[in-house]
Amino acid sequence: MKKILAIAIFAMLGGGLRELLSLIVTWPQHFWITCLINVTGAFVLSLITKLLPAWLPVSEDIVIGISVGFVGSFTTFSTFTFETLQAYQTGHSVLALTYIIVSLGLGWLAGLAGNLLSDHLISEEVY
Amino acid sequence: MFIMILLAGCGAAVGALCRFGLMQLAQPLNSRYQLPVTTLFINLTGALLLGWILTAPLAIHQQVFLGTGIMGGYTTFSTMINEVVLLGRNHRHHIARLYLALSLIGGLLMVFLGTLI
Repeated sequence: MKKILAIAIFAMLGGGLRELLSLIVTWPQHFWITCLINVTGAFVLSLITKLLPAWLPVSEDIVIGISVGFVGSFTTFSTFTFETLQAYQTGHSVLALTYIIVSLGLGWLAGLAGNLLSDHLISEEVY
Repeated sequence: MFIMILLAGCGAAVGALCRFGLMQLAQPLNSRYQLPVTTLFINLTGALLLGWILTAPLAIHQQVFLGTGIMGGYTTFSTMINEVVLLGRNHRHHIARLYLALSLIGGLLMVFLGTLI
């Protein structure tokens, strides 16, 4: 029950923050904000998955709330696909391809960096 | 502006709980398949529904609650990337590439199908 409450509250914050950023950012090609959100979220999730339980004596409910709830809701896959389709259908096929490559490429690099960094920080802690 | 953020936030809570519920239900599948089938299922169904929501004759408030909120909270980009990274680090490069390709091509197909409904 606590877990469900934690996920709901953190997801509210994550989804709300995504909408806030999308409302206040006025870039001409608005979808890059989704890319920035997704890449940042990929880094944060990979970093905290193992690091958060190792570093902070927080309960499992809070860890799941932050990872599944906050970061999971902050990032979004469905909007990424919709924006790609929209760019392609409005005749911007090169832009659509660029958007895919940048989102997945940078997202993967960010995730890998977060994962390696968390391993490094945890091993330093132990030795 | 505040009402939009609240709508998106409340929707995201509903979406994230659906995602968590499905993940719990599908846990036995994790040992059976190396491919993260649950996240794939979530992201593909979410893409289909978002395509439908954003092209349906709905008011902007409804689109923000259902689309930005529920579908945004239900689908997840960060978990997918994290799974790709972990598959790669466990030397399952083949499955990582297959997973990424299925997510991308499947997601684009599903969102396109959604806009046709």
